[in-house]
Amino acid sequence: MSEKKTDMPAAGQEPLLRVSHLRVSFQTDKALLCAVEDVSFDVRKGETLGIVGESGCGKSISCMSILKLVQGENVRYENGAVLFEGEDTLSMTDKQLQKIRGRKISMIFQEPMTALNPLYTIGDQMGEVLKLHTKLSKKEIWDRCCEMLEKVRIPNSREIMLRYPFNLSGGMRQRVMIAMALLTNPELVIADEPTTALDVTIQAQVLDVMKDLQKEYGCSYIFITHDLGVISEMADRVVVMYGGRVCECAATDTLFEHPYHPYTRGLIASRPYRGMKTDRLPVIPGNVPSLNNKPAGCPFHTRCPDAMDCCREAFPEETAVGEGHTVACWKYAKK
Amino acid sequence: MDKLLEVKDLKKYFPIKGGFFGRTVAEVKAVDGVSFSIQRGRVLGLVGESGCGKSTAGRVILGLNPKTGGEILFDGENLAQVSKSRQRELRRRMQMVFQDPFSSLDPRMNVSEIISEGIVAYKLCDTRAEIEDRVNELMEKCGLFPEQAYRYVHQFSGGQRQRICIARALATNPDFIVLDEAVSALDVSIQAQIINLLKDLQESIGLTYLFISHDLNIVQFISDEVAVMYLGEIVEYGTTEQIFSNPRHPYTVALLSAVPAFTREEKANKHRMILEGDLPSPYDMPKGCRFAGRCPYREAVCEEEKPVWTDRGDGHYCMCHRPQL
Repeated sequence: MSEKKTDMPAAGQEPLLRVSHLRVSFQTDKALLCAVEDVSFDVRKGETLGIVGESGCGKSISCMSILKLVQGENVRYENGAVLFEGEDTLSMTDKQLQKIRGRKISMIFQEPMTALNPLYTIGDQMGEVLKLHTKLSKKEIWDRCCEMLEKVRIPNSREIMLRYPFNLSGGMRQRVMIAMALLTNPELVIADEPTTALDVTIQAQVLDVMKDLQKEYGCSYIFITHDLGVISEMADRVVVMYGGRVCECAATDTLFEHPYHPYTRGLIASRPYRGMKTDRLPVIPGNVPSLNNKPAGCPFHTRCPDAMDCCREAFPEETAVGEGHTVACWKYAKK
Repeated sequence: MDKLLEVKDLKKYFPIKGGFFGRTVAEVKAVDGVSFSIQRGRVLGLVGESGCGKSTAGRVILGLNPKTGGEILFDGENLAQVSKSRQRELRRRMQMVFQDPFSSLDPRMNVSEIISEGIVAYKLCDTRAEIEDRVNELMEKCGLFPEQAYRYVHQFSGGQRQRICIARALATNPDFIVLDEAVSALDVSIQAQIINLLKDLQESIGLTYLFISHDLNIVQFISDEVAVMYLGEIVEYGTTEQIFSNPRHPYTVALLSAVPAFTREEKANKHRMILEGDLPSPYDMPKGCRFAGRCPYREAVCEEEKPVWTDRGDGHYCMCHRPQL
């Protein structure tokens, strides 16, 4: 993490979570594919950090790495640190991690269909979280789960506790996931595309519930999505990712009103809005590069309207362009 | 007015089999009495949440699923009454692009085979060379390179695959294309490219689209008219301007307000209407207005009587009991 970001207003205290220079690769038969190249960001207490990017940009991998959930023989955590309350989660053993996972940092996944076990009732699955992390009695666990379900606005919670996931609609399942994630009163909740699979009216309900719970519990959120509208509604600050790197980071309103990076600009411009005057959308040409032939230098240079020679050679340093606003682009790099 | 497609009281019920002999025990009314028409060269946006029957409506119009009732008139001809050979000819002029560019293309066929399938089936070209020329022309039109013609689908990205799907749909020289969530599965930056392509094609060939989507921003951008569906029925119909600036049905209002605000200005002017509950189950449809259970303005009459389809001025139709809305 560069020095600039820590100069931000209201950043007197240590951030809750600091990801610095994270690099995650996958070993394949042919080559070592780098999904996350050099990602740094931090999350402050009580804030919502939004991470936007297209599929394959590394947003999910970087967030799953916080809890070392990306595991397997071919996964290499090559560089970087994830400091949570002053301790590096990447160097922790599984046993130590287990104390944090689901208790201090919990996750909400995109697909509520696959994230819930179809063979257990909602009550069993929710209760398991508390059984692992607390010393509450069965009765207390049951009551706490019911209470939490009511908080996410699920009516007749006692009956729902005995139901199986397939009995519930998509929106209900996602609310169960949220209830489950907040059961232990965690410090940080990582929500990976939590509303992508839902309809707009249900999405509005779920976002509303999430905002209310944040006010009540004071937890921080990392909100991963590709939907700029959702980000703008939920996040206090936004990190824009492309090709395994952070290209821009700023407070939400600043980012949407004065984007610097050509990618951010392109993304914002290509979104249709009410009262649009043109009859064609401004587009970013080309396709998202795949992992095995990522361009050298700045990964965006192949699609960038302002690409220069230096863009093809090296990735630019992060530059501060305003208060708490950093951008990684040669256009703004200090010469 | 020149109506290319007219749908009258279209119904599609799916039977639910049950019991020992697999008898039909109930029916899911996926599309229940839908009527609309599309003028030649226009785009009708069909919006609604999942399970409202918008995709089923699109499939039934093209004959991919047989209809349960109602009439479909294409260019003035009733599809159910014309001869088989005439029906085949009319079908040539109606094509479809599906949502998922991964499962709607055969992985064992190369691009050229995929695109030329329709050309061969309808004998639109005589020689192999002609077919090849036609495939190349279609690929160029859709932003693909002719040298990619002998590649297989897995070698393409999502956006390119959707271009292949569009080229395939154009192969038989259609007048009308059903676009079923054609851009929903794509990345944001690719979505804009495909939308522009669809607009270009519409203007250069004079196509008519039925654009089925749940993304209201995109529907607003591409459509001339919009129909809002809720549980198998169209609850509101009007021009894009009428629907987006002056929505009359409470469901449309809620749907529009659920779209996340983007700029600071939008956020400030926003009055969000959060709906309670989920869609009711389609086998157990409410007696009165289908939206009554979630409607914040419901009155006693809403639960008892079905509202009628009324003109609220200038071809803006709405199905709601409240006259002031």
